[in-house]
Amino acid sequence: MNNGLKKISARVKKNILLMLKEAGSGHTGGSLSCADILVTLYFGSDSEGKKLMRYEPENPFWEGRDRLVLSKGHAAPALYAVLSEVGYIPEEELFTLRKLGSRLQGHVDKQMLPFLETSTGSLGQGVSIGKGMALGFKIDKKPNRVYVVAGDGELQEGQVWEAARNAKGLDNLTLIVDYNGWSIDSYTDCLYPLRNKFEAFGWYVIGKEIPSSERKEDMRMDGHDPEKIAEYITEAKEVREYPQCVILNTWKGGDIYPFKNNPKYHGKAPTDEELEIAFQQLDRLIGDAIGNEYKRVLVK
Amino acid sequence: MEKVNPRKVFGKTIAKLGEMYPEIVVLDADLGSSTYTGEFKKRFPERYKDCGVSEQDMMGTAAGLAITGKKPYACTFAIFIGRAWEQIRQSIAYQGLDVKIIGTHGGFVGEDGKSHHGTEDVGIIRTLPMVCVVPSVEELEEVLYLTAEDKNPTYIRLFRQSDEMKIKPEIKIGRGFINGKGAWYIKPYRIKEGRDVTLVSNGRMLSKAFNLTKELGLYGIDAELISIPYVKPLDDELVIESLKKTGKLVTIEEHRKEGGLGEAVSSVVSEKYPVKTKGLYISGIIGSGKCSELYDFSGLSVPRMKEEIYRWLKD
Repeated sequence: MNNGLKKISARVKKNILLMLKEAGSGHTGGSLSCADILVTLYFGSDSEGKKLMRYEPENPFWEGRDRLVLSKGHAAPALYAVLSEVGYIPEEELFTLRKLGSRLQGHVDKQMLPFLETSTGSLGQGVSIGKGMALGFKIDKKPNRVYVVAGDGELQEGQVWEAARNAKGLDNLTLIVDYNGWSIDSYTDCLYPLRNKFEAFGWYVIGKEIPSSERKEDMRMDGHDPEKIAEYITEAKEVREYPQCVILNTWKGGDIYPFKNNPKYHGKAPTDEELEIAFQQLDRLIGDAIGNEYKRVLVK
Repeated sequence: MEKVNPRKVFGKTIAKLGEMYPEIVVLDADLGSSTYTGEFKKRFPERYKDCGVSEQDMMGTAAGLAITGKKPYACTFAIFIGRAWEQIRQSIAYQGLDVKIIGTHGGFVGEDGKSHHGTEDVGIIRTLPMVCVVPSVEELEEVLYLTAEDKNPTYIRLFRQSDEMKIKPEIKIGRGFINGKGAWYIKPYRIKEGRDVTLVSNGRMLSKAFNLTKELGLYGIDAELISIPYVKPLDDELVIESLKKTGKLVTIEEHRKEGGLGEAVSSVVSEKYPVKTKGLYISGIIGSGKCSELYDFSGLSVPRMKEEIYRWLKD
């Protein structure tokens, strides 16, 4: 059902790399780790073919839309690239990222781009903001749902656990953890056991983290598999009474070399050579997924 | 003078405002019994949320509520807003969200001591693009009505207890700017006319400053007193006008020097009409004691302020 997403995903990842290359700085690792999650949220469907997230491609301000809070605001390039696929941001504007006066600020900025749901960038604040939105919809008895995408590193912030304790009854709130196993300086194994922690705080938890120390290079991560991501989110949407936490394992730098699982690329833009290596893999991926016809178009 | 509890005034007014503004939501951080939000909670239970002892989450939640069109009031002690300063900056002020932050127990709290005195709150808020108000009980209700109508992120500093001067201030509304966006405020107003020296103050120090003008009168000093409830946006018109007459400025506040009313006013004055200036404020780290004792210890009791000003004018 969600196989077609690989095409979009590859385009998004290419754009992320091109934007960062053009900007000369930015967060490659964290943007690539959550790219498949964001693509699936915006373009994925459940087993009945229903879109996972409600939104209108023609009207970013549609009141009935579900809200997406990218709590890990440094992954802004991933969000911008996905919103360009949706049609909200012209593709050529992507390459203004991080430049003076650009609408595409280094971290997610609603002041510059009003159709974003909130500004983020300082870690650990997105869960509370998402929670406030979910509470607002509950007070008004509106059906809108709120999705918060958080990094594993930022879960070390105390505010996240204040919010976790405080989210009782907000079944319209889904926290999606992009568990890539790294913060800037070290593994995030200090969070283990994350699943049990959220359960203890009264959340309905889907998925389970694989700590960095147990990861092997050939492992296939659910956070890069659109089918799995869609399956988990579909399950979360059916939960009543409890807020949901979806833990998705990813690789920092995505599943693309030379960035994969390499913390060096946390806050570093790719070079021309690295871009070339990555693009070859992404072209191959698309070739595998949808045949050579598209590959030819893309190469051209 | 009569003792008044500004928090009770807030509690009553916010319940009234709750009726006028169906979008108002009140958030507390386990201090509802001290911030007097009980009446609101009783009347609008679905629009009241106790966040527990979690100030950072309370500020983020307020931001999320404001994004969905609500008008949240996040209430805690003045001291504890500092605990969520960066959340206020990132999630509220920099987004220009319509969130009202109520900091009760501004200044000295008394016997609870140094961990609970709210003596830096105005300073840390003033650095942010948001409205900062320190109302005295005289204009408290008007401030609450005006800030409810205004859509800027706003900090309102309240006190545990205050003296009421029983004067009727002449409320005039002004229009200033916060980060390029229009903001309503109450203009500074004159409480007493005088020709020798200009005193400016706000909050509960205002009633003390009022007494001070009488005491100074006994020394033959004719002091003018101006109330400045809005520290930001700061309207300097009346102060400059007064200084052209008196040529001397004394700022009086229940806050540290750094970032407080005194710094705000004297920085404008030094640019526009430099005069001889004296600041009366809290310095040092102050411990437990009755508020009256703490005022005296800090040089903010009426007799000590009188001595200080008298000496300074003679210099």
